[in-house]
Amino acid sequence: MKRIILAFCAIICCAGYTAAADTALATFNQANTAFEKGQYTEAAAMYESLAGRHGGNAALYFNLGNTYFRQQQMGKALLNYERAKRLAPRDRDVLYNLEFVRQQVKEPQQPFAVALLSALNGLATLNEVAALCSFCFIGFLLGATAWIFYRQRFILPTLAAFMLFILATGWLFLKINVEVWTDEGIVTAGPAEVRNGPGTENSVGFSLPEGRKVVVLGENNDWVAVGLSSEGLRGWIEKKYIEKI
Amino acid sequence: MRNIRTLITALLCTVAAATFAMADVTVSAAVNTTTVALDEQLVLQVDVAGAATNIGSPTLPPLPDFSVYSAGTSQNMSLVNGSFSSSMSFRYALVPKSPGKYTIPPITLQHDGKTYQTQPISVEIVAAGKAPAANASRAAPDRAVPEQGKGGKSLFVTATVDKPTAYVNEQVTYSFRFYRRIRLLSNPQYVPANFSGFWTEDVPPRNYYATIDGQQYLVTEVKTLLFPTRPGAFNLGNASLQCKIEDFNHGDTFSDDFFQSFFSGGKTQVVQTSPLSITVVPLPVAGKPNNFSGAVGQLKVASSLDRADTKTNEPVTLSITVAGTGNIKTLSAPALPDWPDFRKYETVSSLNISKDGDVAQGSKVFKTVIVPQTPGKKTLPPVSFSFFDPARKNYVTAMTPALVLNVQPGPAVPSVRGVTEPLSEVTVVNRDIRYIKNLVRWETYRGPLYRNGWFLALNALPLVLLMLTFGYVKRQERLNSDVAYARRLKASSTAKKYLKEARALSAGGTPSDFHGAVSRALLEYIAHKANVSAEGLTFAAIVDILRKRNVSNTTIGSVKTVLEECDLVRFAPAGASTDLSRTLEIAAALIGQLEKELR
Repeated sequence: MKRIILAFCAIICCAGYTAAADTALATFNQANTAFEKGQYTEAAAMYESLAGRHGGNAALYFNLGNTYFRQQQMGKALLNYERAKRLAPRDRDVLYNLEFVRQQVKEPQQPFAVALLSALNGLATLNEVAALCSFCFIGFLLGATAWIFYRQRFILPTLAAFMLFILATGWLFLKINVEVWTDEGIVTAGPAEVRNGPGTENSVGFSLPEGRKVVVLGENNDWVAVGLSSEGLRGWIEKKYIEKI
Repeated sequence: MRNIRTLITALLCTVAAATFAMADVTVSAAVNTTTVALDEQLVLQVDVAGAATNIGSPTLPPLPDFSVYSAGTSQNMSLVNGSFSSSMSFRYALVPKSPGKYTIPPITLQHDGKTYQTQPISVEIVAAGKAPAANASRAAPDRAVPEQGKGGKSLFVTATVDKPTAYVNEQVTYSFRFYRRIRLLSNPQYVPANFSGFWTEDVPPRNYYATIDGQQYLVTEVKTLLFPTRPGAFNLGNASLQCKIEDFNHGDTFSDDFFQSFFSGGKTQVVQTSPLSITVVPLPVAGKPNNFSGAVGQLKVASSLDRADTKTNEPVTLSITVAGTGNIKTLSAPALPDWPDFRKYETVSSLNISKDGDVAQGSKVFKTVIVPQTPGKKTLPPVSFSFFDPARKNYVTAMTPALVLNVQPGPAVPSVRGVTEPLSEVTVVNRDIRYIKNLVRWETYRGPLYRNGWFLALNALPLVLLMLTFGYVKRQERLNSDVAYARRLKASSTAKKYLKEARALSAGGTPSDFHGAVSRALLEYIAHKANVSAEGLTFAAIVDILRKRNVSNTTIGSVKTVLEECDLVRFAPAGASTDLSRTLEIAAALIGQLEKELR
């Protein structure tokens, strides 16, 4: 009896999940139709609700970015292209549009080291790197197991797998560092004033144009501490002007 | 008379110099008559006098009801008793536009930061011919019989059209005639009527003499050929002429300014015609040919080729000539039919126009370069051209005769296009973002894998496997190298083997063999545990072994009991009658107990 109930629950869960996916797909297509008709406000609202309820995917963020671009909201367009890029770093459309909007907002060229790192991170998603890491790890363990039995014959493959595992782990940590431990944000409304402390009583240090990518260093109530690595600037910006990637 | 006037003027100047030491400048204005006919003109004179050399000119207020022309200035300067004075007269000819009572507003003069003003003047404009004769000549009000009733005039103008109604694009001849029997002091200025809505062709002016009411006039005739561009009623308005004539009227009251006769050198006279209108009717819709392109007149069409024989790929010029009367300039090229054997190039046209007899006529030649593509005797079918004949009030379609061209095979043109024409290049017109994506399946990102339990478990699995393998291999190694350890480990299984044997014997074997197996199980177990040989293991040795390994006395006693019982059955078969299964149970329990105590 217990088994029957469990199986029943499993079926309901599966069905529920499929139904949710179907609803999401229907909403997505509806938003696409609105975009095609030029109803960008409606399309943006539908895409945003999808991202909020179901979590995003690359196509959703890409289309949302396009919608904001059509509404001349370059900051939000960039934000969503960046999100799409994280989920699909090799998607040529995403890369093209991201670069296109960056040129539009005249984002400065990244320093060589940053560009190199970004190119490396652009080769694969976080999960792909994690899977690679895991693959190397399992390969190494199986190799080691075989080595215990067969000794000499398995030394080289095992060592190779181990080296790959070390490299992949390094890459994974780099990736986690950039995408998880480091918070990046995009200025979604600009030009936004950046002050020398959290609060309007502090003096304005510099201003950021819409669409500028910054590193988020910390938060204090309605204020976010941001840093610009290329210019070496730091300051506090009101939360409403910035959104984390 | 003149002496008196000079004297008075000199007196006035003196008085003025004395009087206007403070107010420097005087300005006054006057007209020659206060009532004037619509076809006459008014002369406005503004006098400025003052003891200064550099007095500016007066500013006329806007006079929307009159056409204003400057009619000259005169100036006088005098130095009397050491005081300087000057006076200037500005004359304007005002031609009224419509009847009614008007006021000429004050005329202002700026001098030395001060503003001087004249008094306003009221004038009345009456319909043409009703005003008392002023000293201006009258224009011709009558279009139909312009030469009648003008006997008294020294100059007048008339305007006529040859027809009051015309078709669109049909020629209308507009004639402007200027009659005069007095000398002009300058070239007259002709302001033509309003010809908007017409395509115009000018005819050079002609001069001739005409006698009207016994007076001989010099007539200058200016003709304009008009071609209406659209149907409707058109008001041409009036044409006017401004000229300077000798002024013979010094005797009258107005001209008491004697300076004028020295410097102005005559007076300006403006004459204008009565307004004319033309009604333009559209071309009839009925019977309009398909290829009609707006040509109106009497036209003929002809065609020719510059040669009758040619070769393939050698160009031939086809000329189509449209000639006759009408608006030749606006003729459009007749449509050429499709000739599949020829390649056609752009048509160029040349024009030849004359206006003999005041009729626009001439010819327009349309030249088209055609290149035969295939050899043979080619016939160029007739080309048709349609026009509207306003005299017959119908459409006419003229055809050219068919033309024959002999085409010989010529040198092949080796794909000239492929060599000379550059490959079409990609032209980026507008760069934009890439278009939105579509999805077939909905999938969402569920966070990083390394936080997923299943993923971590998958990675832990081979780790467990490795550890197990390692443990296994290590144990095998010890079993191989350490005999005591190996025997100790095997003690239990060896004992179980003999017990199993005993269980088999309990069913079918002799009691002696059964007990032998049970005894063997116990002995082998203890021998394995102690790593000694089971053969010859005495009971004393067994007790010693068990004691050393801290086995309890109870268990040792049990071992002893079982072994003794077994020996009893084995070596004294007669008196044996024991419960075999119970013995087996006790032995098994005993081995289990030993397993626990032999740590």
